[in-house]
Amino acid sequence: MLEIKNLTKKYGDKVAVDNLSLSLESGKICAFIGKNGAGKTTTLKCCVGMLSFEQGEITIDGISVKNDPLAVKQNIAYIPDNPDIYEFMTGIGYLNFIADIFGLSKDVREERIRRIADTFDLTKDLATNVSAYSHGMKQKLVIISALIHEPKLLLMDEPFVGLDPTAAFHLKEEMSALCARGGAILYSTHVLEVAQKVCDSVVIIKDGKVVRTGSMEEVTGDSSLEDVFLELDEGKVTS
Amino acid sequence: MTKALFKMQLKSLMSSMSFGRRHRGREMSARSGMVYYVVVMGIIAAAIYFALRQSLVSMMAPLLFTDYAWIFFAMNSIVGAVIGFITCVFLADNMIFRPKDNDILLPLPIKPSKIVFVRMMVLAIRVLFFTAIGFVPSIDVYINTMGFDLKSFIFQIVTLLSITLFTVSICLIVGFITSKISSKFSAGSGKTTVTVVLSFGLMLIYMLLVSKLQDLISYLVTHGEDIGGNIMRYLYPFYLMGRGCLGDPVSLLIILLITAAVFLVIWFLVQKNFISIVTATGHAKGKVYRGGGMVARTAASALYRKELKRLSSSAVYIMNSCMNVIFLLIIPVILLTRRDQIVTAIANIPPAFQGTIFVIIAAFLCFMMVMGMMTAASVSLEGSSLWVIRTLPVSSKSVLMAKVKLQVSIYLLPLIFTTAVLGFIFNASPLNIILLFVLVVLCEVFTAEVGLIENLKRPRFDWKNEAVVIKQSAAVGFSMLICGFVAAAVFLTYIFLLSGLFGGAVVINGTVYLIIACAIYLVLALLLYRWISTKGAKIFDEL
Repeated sequence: MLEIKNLTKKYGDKVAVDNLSLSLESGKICAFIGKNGAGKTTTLKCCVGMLSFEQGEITIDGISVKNDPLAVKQNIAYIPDNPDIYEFMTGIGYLNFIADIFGLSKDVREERIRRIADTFDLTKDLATNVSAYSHGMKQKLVIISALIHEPKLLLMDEPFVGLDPTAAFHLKEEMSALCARGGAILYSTHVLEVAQKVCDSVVIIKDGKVVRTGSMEEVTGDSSLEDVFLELDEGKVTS
Repeated sequence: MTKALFKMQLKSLMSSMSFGRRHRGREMSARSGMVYYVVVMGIIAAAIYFALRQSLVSMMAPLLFTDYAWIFFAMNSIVGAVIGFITCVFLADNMIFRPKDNDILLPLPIKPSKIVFVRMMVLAIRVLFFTAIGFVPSIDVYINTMGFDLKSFIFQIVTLLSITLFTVSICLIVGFITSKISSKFSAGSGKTTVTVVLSFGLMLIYMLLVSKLQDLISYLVTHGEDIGGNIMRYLYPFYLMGRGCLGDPVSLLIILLITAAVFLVIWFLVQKNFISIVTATGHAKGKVYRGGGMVARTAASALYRKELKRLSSSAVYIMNSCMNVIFLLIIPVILLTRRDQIVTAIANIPPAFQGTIFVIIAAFLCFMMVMGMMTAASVSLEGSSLWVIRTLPVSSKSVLMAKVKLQVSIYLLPLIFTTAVLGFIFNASPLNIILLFVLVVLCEVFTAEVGLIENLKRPRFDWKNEAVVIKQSAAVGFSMLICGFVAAAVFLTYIFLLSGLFGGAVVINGTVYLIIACAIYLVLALLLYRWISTKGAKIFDEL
């Protein structure tokens, strides 16, 4: 589903992502882990076409991000680390806007918005202006907007921040459902316990380079993901 | 603490004047960008300054040799206050109550009174700049006419400060009232409507009062014998300003104390209500979504509606970008009431110049179009939510053209009305009316495209207050300058050189020139469309 080959991205002289390669199959959730500034968000932004990159190739469902970004965007969704969305719209106005862009019919959007918004307990607030939403409500709205067109690939940057425990539970359920439909998820996070529980594979990056990758079992073995990460990051093994 | 706050606010003010991230494909330092901006704004300010100065020399300088010399400065105090008020009134509400950093500052151990004071002082700096454009020409003319006198000069500068305090106070009263009332409404178009209506209403009342004052002054000038008593009754503050400028310390002290006291009272009132206004959530909390109401639209339509929603949600955006729509509607109506006089006047114009009238009207309308620069802020206004549009499957060209379409479409209906009414008033042929309409629409397309291109070249996404990018960003300033220059080149060349109005033979008939002007604007609009579709889209992709 997602294939990143030798991706390099620089900001001026600073190399943010250095010759990074990873691959993600359909039906899988991949944890994307690294310290602050390691290059996770930059990689995600390159995948969704928000950032151009100097070297490498990214293909999603066989389509190159560089050559046909619009076709790629039709099949993906991105949940950023900060839910800055159009505060001048109501919640339903925003979802309608996203549905219009993805060309969803009236019936399809009505059914999906109702179902997902009910799941995240946001339906009754959809008539309210986004500017009056709390951080968690905005995050829920971003999640709903990411799911209504049933993307094949979901790129998530700390999606659980601000969510209440119930909403977090439902998000995990939605992630599983998306994978069951043949989709895939690249999930960037610092919450290693959640990553270990929900992800099939893991990519750990440091200074823009992949330092460890594989299935969750291969990478963690008998240890926890946290132990492996700290060992790689600091050369320190915790008990 | 106050110093740090003031420094931060000033930095924000300076950054609004500097360039955005990109200039001709390379990074440009904020400092050099600011210098460039200041130079251009300086040219505009200088043009206004010298126009005012010229009119003062010819019309009012003789007053300085009479016993009523104070009227000279009183009139210019009004001019300064009016310019300061018009340019800054819509900023007050946004600068004091609605900056994005409220959420950062309020939890910090800073007294609201300090936050308000610092913001008021930054507003005062802006007001001072614009007030000075209106008032300093009078100092200049005074020195040139009466000679330099240090004491008077210092007094005149202090008077300028008191006019600034007075103007800031008036702006704050308008901002305070609109904020207080609009805080009762929930966020959204209801709140925007209230703010827009209140702001326009209060502004109209103020302008009406000012126009009455000017009438009164004119009356006083022509009825010199009654002057003393009338001044004391109607124009005492301006009398004091005028006297102060001429070197009367008591007058100066009184007016300074009055304006400072008003300023402090307003500061007290604003800071007392600050928390309640900025934390008000309105009354629409209970609005519950009950399903339905969904309509499937095309992506292009959705993008257009998104831009429309952005515009209609912001009072400051509407008031700064669409104020000329109101003038477009009002001016023909005013002219309609004087149609008989106009028809009589036109009857005396030789037939050879009939078409030229419409070139002059077209020039007037095109210059009016330049005042509405919606697109020049539209890219910056994407702000921190830029990621939304960048991750959706829509081309950058569609996103950008939606912004142009909105600006042009806002003017279409008013322009149909305006050109039809003007055509009726001036007994124009159907061809001239159609040409006038097409020309102004093409000019509007060009204006919208210039604004968009300027904003693509100079975007700012780090704004804390949207009023800054809407009102005073480099993109807006440059766009107005470019479009004004093009309109001047297209129309003034004809009116002064080719129409025969100022001597010489008629080189080109007015109607023919309307067609030529249409062609010029069409070519320019097409060239810019091509630029937006290719380079512009690429720049947007890399923002």
